[in-house]
Amino acid sequence: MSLTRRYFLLGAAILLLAVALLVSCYPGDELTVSDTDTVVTAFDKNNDFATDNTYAMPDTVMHLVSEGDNDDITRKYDASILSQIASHMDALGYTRVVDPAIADVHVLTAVNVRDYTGYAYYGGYWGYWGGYYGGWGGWYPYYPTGVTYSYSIGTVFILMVDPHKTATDGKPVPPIWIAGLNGLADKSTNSNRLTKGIDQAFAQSQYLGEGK
Amino acid sequence: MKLFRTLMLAGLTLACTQSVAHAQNWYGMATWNISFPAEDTKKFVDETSFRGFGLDFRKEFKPMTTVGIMGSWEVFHERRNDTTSVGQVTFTGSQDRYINSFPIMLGLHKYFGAAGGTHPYIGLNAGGFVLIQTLRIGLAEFEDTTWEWGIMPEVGFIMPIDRGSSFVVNARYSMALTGEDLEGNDSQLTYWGVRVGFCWEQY
Repeated sequence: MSLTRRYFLLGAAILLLAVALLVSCYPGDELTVSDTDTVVTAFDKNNDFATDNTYAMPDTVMHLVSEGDNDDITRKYDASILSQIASHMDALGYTRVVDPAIADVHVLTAVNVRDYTGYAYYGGYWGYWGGYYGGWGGWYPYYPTGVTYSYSIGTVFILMVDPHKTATDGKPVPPIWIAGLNGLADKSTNSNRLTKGIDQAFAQSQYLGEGK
Repeated sequence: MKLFRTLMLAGLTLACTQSVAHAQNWYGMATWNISFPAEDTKKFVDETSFRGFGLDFRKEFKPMTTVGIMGSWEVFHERRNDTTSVGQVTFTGSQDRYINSFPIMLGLHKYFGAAGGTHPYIGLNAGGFVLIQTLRIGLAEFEDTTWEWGIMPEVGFIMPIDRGSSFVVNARYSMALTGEDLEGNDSQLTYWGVRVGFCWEQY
């Protein structure tokens, strides 16, 4: 084998190794649970928040579950969620009123948790011994080539609705402001993550306090 | 811009045609590519990329001048914990930003230096990029795959280590002439690259 050819094969091997490293070390795939947290807010650009001064808020967090499903979402955090939202509304200059009929806006809070189940497939048939081995008179065990996993995604919604707006075409009146806190549901850290998420939702929505 | 592209392609086509008449040496190159984002690309991903490799094949069609084809893959990535607003919508969360760039170009290169010694060279590659821009925010992902026309001027050195084999080091400026970011605003892929690798010559 000539020297040139040997170098060429060496180069090809290096290149293949580079491809393998590039693919196997693809960056960013390692995520902690809190890395999945996202806070999204949106507002109605036609609404003048400076004219909204009072708000009404129910003393409950709506749990969004499908009809017939068990409501197994914990109510452990409901009180602290509502209290934190009220604190932020007060800090923005809104005044809470008891009678919803006289409030400029209504603030509604809802929570939803959805469970997902997946199956990760290893690929290939390594370890598969499923065939009939007559000489031994039985079936060898089948080694599965994948693993089942499940996870839950939780979302907290905070909606600000103008009760004086009326629907014109039978559709629900869209909120004038909405915040969504979304991420993997993790029972051990939810409280802290919820607090940070609600703080962030109001921090990035300072326009709610305009003119107050 | 269209005239420039047409002239480039015409020049490379002419060079390819001439190579048949001369039928001289060909060269192969495999390189590890380190890339530094610049201008518009730096706004999206501001981290040096060490994930890249490239392959070049060049044919000498007249002494010290080659025409060739190159392909490479560079992966840029940056994780930011950031707040981004698009219109009336604001997102906050851990953002993974990726650019996968796959330049595929024809090139014309001129070499200098004495036979058997180090050859400095200059060249121009022209063609395009398969460009994949990805933004992951939390559990959501936005991705756009496009083809962008572009050019890649290049300077480098080929240092012989044995008959028919050499080290190569070069610097390239990759510049797309077209393109948009994920929000649809004008944005061109631009990055500097340093490549080191091996070069083989076949007689």
